[in-house]
Amino acid sequence: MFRKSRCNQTEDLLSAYVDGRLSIGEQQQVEEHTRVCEACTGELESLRTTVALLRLTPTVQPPRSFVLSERTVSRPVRQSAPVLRWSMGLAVALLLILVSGDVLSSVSLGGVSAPSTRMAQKSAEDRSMAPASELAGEAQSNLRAPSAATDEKNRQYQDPSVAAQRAPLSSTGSEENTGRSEGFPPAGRTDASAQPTADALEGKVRPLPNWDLSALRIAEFGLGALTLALVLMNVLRRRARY
Amino acid sequence: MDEQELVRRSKAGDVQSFNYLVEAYQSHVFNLALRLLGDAEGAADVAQETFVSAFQAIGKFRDGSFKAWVLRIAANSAYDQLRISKRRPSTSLDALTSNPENPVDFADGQETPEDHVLRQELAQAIQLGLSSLPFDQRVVVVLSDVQGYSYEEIAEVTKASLGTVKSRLSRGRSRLRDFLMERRELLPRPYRH
Repeated sequence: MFRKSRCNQTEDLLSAYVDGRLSIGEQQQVEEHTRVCEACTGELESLRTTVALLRLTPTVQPPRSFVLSERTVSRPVRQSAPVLRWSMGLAVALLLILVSGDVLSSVSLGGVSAPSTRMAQKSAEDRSMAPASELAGEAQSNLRAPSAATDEKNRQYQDPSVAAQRAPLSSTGSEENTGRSEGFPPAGRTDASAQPTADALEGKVRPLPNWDLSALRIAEFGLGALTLALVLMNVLRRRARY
Repeated sequence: MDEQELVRRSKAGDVQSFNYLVEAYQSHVFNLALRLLGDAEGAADVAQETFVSAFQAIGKFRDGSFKAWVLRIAANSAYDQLRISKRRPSTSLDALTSNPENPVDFADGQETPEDHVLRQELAQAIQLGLSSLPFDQRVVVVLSDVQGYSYEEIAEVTKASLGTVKSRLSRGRSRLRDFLMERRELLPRPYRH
């Protein structure tokens, strides 16, 4: 065991020993060990042979001169990294445009965006506990069709296309999670999102069908995956470069 | 004109001054690329690309050795070349040995036809051995044992510590030794023990 470790230690030093780059202590260690260890002496000799053979390799005259002309210098050099960087930047920009467009459209169409779903739930719960007369009054002042408000809203909440429009970023519809809102909307919603929904019901804004939203999600996920792949390629390329 | 002045003028866009630097270092660059790639044609391409890149990036060169800087660019270009073209030294070496005037041969004056063949086979074995090394070890072995640079110069070229240079050199030489010992019959007589 001891002998083996001494051999390993010596082997690690042999290359620098051949070059005369060991400290005096290390040099003595190698010389003492190789005096008694035949295997390490053989290793040392074969290493010296290898170095000697490599040093036999002649310097080769270049086949031509590499001096530069003005024309050579003005020619663009092959570079793949900038292309990769630009592609990554473009993908990130497209992703941002797509996501912000998605968020903006959901807000402008009166939908409850995913991040605000929880707040909307809370708001709905609060309103359900408010006095009915007060809420009815608010509803009348805010909605253009106050007389049919409750019935219309019931239809609106039961209609999947309208539901999808209300929560375009939620995965399966916020109604399933709230329980309270499914088929029983809070009377007289007074937040800003209620107004465009009423507009949509009046035909001013056409609600997006479900497949449109799915296509948008697919595009976002696809672009996100592409961006991630480009970022990884960029990182790997930087690390791989010698 | 000293090197610093040539570098300063090159930074100002003077191609002629830069060409003095090219003439001074083109043999170093070409030979490094040749041993890293095992392919004379590819090495010439790498050398040309190295100097074009160096001229275009010379504004970024600060202090230190211009030679080390340009050799580092050459090593990076050779690495890119290997990755992009997936060149295999075996095919390149076949082409090299079939050309009697190829400069990669070990030239040595008067020799018998038998010695000539052995010499070519040895050159091929060494180049194959070098090409079998991981790239970081190959660069250090070529710079040290083929081109004769000191540990300090190699550390500057590779931007590695002296300890890393020693370690890469030790592992590279050991691998190469094992490779050559398996082909002992190709070694010159004094080395066949």
